[in-house]
Amino acid sequence: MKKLSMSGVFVTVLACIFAVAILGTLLFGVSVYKSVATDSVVNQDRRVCMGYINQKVHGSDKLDMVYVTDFCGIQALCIDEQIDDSLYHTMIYAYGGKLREISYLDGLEFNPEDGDEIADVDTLDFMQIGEVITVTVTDAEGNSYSGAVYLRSGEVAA
Amino acid sequence: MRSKASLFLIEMLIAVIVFSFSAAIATNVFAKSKQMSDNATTVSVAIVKAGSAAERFRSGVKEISSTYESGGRWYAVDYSGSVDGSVETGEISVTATDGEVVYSLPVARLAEVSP
Repeated sequence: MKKLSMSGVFVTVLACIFAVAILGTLLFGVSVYKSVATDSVVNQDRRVCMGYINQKVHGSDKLDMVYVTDFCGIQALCIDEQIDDSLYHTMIYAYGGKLREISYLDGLEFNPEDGDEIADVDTLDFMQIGEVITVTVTDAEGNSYSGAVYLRSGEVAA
Repeated sequence: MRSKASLFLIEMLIAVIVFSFSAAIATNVFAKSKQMSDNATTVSVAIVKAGSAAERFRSGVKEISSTYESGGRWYAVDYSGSVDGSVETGEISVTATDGEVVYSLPVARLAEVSP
């Protein structure tokens, strides 16, 4: 009888260790998965933000048509485009935790929340020195990274 | 005849052994996936840094070397190249402090012509 109860205790302890091990492995897996998923999103947002701004600038780069400006109190990158007799502004800025873009005819007024959402960012800072615009992006996780975009139209003009 | 507890004990031991093998494999896979994710982050940051350096290079800036920290490690962005006639070609490389080249980007620009 005594032997049986000792065996029963051992089985119970073993079952408990088994349960704890399963839980531990599961929690470890969840932690790794969360970390991998978060890193993936951060990497994607980083590439999307920098790639988007880069391609946008190079795709529309004309002399004195790309510059840093103020849009409703927010620092923005403005890309101007002359179509026939009309001047259009395309503003790229961060508002409400999103990288946004809005294009409008010169003279019209819009609010920052009217822009199309591109990607998740917290803040977006532009600094123009000569023909180089330095873009600093801070994401929702607080990670900050910067990249440079060279305005080749200045090179052609020179 | 074995008691119910003994049978359950044997069953538990088999389950623990099987689980141990599975957990060892799963933990290995988790660790590898984390390592791959960290590598992806390193390369992603390196691409942005190298791209940024390439833009500066193209703008004619002389000094494009820099260092930065990512994931607790330091990396150096360096340029090496040569002028051949009117074209300057080279490579921008992102290197970890242990010498591992994370990313490299071939670049070219018109060389400055002396008046």
